[in-house]
Amino acid sequence: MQIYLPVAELSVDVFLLLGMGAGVGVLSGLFGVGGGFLMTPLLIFIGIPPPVAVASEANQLVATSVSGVLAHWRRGAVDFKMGLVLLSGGVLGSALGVWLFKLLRGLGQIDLAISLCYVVFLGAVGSLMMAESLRALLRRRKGVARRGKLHRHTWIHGLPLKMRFQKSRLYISAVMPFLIGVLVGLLAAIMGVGGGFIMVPAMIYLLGMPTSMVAGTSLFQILFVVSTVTLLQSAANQTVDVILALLLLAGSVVGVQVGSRLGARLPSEQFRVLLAALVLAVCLKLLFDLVTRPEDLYSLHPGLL
Amino acid sequence: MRALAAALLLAAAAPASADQFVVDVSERTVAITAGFTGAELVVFGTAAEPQGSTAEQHGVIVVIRGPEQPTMVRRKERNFGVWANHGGVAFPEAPAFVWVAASEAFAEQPVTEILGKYEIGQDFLSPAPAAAGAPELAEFQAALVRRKQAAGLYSAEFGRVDFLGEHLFRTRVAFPANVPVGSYRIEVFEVRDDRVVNVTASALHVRKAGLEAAVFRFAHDFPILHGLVAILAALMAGWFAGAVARRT
Repeated sequence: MQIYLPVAELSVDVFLLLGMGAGVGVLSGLFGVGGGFLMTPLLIFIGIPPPVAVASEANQLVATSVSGVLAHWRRGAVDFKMGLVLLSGGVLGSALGVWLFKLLRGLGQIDLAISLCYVVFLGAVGSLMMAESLRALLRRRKGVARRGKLHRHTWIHGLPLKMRFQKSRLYISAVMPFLIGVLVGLLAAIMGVGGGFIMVPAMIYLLGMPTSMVAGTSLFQILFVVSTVTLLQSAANQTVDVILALLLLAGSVVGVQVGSRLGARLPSEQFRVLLAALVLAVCLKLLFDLVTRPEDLYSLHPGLL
Repeated sequence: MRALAAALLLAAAAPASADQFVVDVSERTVAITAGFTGAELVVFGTAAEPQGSTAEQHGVIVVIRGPEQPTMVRRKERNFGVWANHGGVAFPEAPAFVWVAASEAFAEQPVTEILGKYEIGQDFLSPAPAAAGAPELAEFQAALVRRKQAAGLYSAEFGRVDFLGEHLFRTRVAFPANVPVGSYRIEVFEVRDDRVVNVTASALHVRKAGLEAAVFRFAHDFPILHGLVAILAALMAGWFAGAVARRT
């Protein structure tokens, strides 16, 4: 059954969109990631114009993150103070990102910018994740428990504007979370991702937050950043397709439930290796497309700029 | 469709006077609604000269084209191992969609050759660039046509115009699902030997209708409000999904 998407201005099969939502939803439920980094390339791959794909995916992520935040909040696993610092950076970053998006679109380099961002970030995060989870697997095989230092003092602790975050039991400079927020907001606007895959490692390794607080707090920040991106993209570029977002959402709602139930029964470490492999595969595919000679060197772009 | 059949009957029944060139189309507007998967129209009419007359080559060529849109053609080059857009030519008035059909005498021949021969549609086969003196203009013009053909928006070969008897002809036009919204021109040419003997032109509109039109207008006329509604809809859907999941 075909449906005409009013903003994307093309017809797509309803069941394809529902299926994509469900498939990515299962992965989100399994691994606790937003899935934007998979959904946006998929949407572009089925022919949705990149600007519409990025903006509509941000809209869909609003729904995905709100149910997550509510669940973590009930368990008291959200550090609102840290979330607000991250968020203030995030709002600045997403405004900057939407502006940059418009500029790059005018220069005809937005597709390249989106692909390059994906290659760099998926490559970095994928290989880190792969190394980390393989090490964890090996450690478990050997049965050696390694104890890390409780507190490592690094250059990050030398930054000014120190703040106390009671819930995370941290006393650190607000500069670092603010900068992380800016980066994540920027990526959300340009790549159509929530940015959890960058923020979660950054919160654990750079800020030293307790893992129990990480998921809820990152989702809190993502909820507001993707909302900001939705609003700004709609206002500046008119690229949010609500019908597309709602269809993806309907699929992903079901998928996430299936995935989280599956995840509870499956060994998580082996699955983390699989997720890393998936992330690296998407990265390599995009890299391959960038370096191989395209079938036609010419392409068409609406507008004169 | 019934109206069309009646019109065709009427056209067939009326004794075709030999020098009248009349053309009509089954619909004047194509409405894009939620279930839109493309539309089919019928262009029909009577040729002034009978088919199979003594002329060497006689027939009808139909060109449907529309809406003129500013289009940029970019070319990729290899930089640091990566293929990136580098340079381009802007065409301020390239038709978004072009469909051509011809009767038997021309249908098998290359589109560009026939249109070139009768000087029909030069403006879309070689559109004017925004700035004069663009280098390698011909290559960019050819690329524009090639990419449009690959997207199914320009005909790569002629559709068929069928003659039903000596004067009456008709052709079916299939608009694809990605047909651009706007106004179109239907041009019908009767050609004999080396020249065009008759021309008619009429208009056709493709527009969004129903819910699709309302959503599109809302997104463009009230972009900020639209963004807020989009966020609210997603928030409610997410909250609802979470509530259902907790229940089960």
